[in-house]
Amino acid sequence: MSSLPSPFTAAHRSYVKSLYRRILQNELNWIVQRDLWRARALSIRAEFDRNRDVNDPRALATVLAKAEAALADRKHPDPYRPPEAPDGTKWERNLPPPVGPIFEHEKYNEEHGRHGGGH
Amino acid sequence: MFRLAARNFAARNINVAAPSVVAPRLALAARSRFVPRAAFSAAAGLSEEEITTRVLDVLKSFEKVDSSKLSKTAKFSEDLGLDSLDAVEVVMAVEEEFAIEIPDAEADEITTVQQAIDYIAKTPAAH
Repeated sequence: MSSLPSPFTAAHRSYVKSLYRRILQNELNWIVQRDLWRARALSIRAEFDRNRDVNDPRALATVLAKAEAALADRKHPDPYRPPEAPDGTKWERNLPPPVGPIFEHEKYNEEHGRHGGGH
Repeated sequence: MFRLAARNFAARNINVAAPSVVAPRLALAARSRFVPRAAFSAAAGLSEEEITTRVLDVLKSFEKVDSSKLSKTAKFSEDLGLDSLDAVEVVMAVEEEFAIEIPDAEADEITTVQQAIDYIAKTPAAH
């Protein structure tokens, strides 16, 4: 996996955090009941902790690739969306009306030499 | 549109006819039937104190967090002793508490209690 950031950098740290977050959220899509999800979350956390001391970049790449593959395999087809997030049920509903100065048609027409009553 | 106009017209006719036909007491009874029983208006946004107490409550529920060290200015890693994966869990719990979704990049930047509070305060969708 050449696309993975090299280990022990800030980029790698944020990549692992994002991976952990994606796995937990994917698990939450499958298991709504929080106590059951918590057990899964603990086992996921244990797996991350088990690989905490993997320092060899090649071994690390294998571990991460395996985790990504497992996540892709278990990806929920219809993930939960918060109502007001993009694609949520309340997304773009009840948009506030545009607040701005009213367009003055009569003034515009006067300024541009147009007269009322149509052409 | 035309149906609405017709209804308005009919309603006006009834109003005109009502005083002459219906006795005043009866008219009053008919009107009182339409007293609204509940207000469906939305509450105002979250206040700063409410956000603070709720964020601190979320953190209190973590067993790894020492609640005596918990304060508004605490940092996740230095003061509360959380590692980076714990911080991810904290952000997820905050997301769930306020029913919002924090994008990955912004969730990464939340490393103190104050930053979490600020993020919620500037998110209009938070409840």
